[in-house]
Amino acid sequence: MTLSTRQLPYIGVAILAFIYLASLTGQHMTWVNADHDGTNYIISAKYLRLSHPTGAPLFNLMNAGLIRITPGSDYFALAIWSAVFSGLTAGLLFKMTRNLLVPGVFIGSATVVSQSTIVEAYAIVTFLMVLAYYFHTKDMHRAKYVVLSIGLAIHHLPILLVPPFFAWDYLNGKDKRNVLFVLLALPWYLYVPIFNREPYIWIKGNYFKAYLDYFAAQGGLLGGLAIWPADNLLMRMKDISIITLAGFGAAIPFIFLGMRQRFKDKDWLLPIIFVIPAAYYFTMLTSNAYIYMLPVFAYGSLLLTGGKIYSRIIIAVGIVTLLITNAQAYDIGNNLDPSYASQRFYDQLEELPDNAVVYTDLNGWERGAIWLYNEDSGSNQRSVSKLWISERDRDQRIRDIHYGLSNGVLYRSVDIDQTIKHSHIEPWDPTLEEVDELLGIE
Amino acid sequence: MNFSALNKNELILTVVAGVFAIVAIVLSEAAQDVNAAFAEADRWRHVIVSNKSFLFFFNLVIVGVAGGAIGSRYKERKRVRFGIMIATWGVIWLVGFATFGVTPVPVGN
Repeated sequence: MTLSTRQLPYIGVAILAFIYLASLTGQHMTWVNADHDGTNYIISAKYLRLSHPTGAPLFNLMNAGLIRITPGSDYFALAIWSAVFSGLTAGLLFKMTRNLLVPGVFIGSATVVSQSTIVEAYAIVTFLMVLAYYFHTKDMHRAKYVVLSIGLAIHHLPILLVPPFFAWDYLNGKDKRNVLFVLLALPWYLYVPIFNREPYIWIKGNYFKAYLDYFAAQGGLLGGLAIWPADNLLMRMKDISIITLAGFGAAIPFIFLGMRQRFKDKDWLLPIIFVIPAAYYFTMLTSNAYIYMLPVFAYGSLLLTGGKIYSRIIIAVGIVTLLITNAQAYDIGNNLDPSYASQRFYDQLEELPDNAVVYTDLNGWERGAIWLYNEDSGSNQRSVSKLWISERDRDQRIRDIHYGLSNGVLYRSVDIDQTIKHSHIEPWDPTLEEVDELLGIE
Repeated sequence: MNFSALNKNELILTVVAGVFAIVAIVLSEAAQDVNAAFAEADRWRHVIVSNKSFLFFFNLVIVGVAGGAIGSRYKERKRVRFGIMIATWGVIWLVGFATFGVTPVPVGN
């Protein structure tokens, strides 16, 4: 395939978006990684270990190559690829619409910026989800499911597109067997049993029930947000309103008009796949699921309709203002996490004994840093947090605390400055009552 | 700029877009709290483990919709239709009672 001059503008948009995001990308480990995800993906890339459920096998294999060929720190070598894939998404959005406002709205969204400058899977997953829709618009229905299968080998989010895509194919007389191509994702998951080994992380052992627990670990999150008492529901309504209003800005009324026009034209697919990931986030138990909103911003920008010149000027001014504001707010290492909180925590671990037990409260990035340090140094440090997912986990953590106490190797992480996530590791000699209180044991 | 070239609807749309642009800037700081997960760790302390979740009500609604869809096929056969209505109510109560004590996810606090 030769590169024609007609494609240069799309490539140019992709490069500009990449440069913008790359300038904000973190150089070292930060806490801004959906808890422990950043350090977890580094472990998987460097040592071919498991990452959190549901495994991200293709992402880990891809990262294993990228971390070895990309210059910079381990963290930067992976984070920069998030910027690459969001840049490609911007270029693809421009190719699909030939309207500069569309990639502008996407890149101007703070949620997109925050997830395109760190080690995460959402930039590449969103690119693949937009690519699948692009193939759909080009009547390449087999290709769209193949692309979704690639996405599903990375994350479960693209599964949300399968029902609406299949419904569209069914109602429009397309070959319904094409949907079977999403099954191409399954062989990639052999990664999990192949690379599950001692010391076990995420999976408790090498037996069937352990694998079942691993793959089902996040099932309870689906639709799990409490409706009553209404505190969490109100919190989620507030969160989703804030990131949507602040992300789309002046484009919101035009996206609404675009949705209305599409429904009038009986072209319901794009509005539906725009809404579904937002509904998914809205009903999920964990607040961390705001990261699932990236496809919403991509599909939402595609819904943008032209409007008159004055409206377009206002949208453009809004985008530029958001780009400047976000460049201030999400410049990792400068304005956001200036001390690289997670890296700073990692460096402190070198001063602890190899068998140290560290109470990390609820800070997942600290737990991830301990796991990475163990892999890097061959140590056996353990983290104990207040959060557990089963009685067995809780009992193990109590045993770890008692081990630390009896061997004089118990430490705890103390927040020095919560606003910038500064913490300091110090020796800890609690009473058993204090331990019970911290771990919530009655 | 010659705004007189706009008709009434276009003018309203342009003003509304301007308002949303300002709202976006005003909310940018609050959005950072969500997008950078400043508040996330602390929120785990306040997660409400409740059986009254979206999934709980979704299941009940789906049973009702399914019962209604089946019942609507028997508009002319009132006894069958009545039976389906009763059965639907029964299944709704069954699903409700069976999942009433199920928490969405066990979280220790």
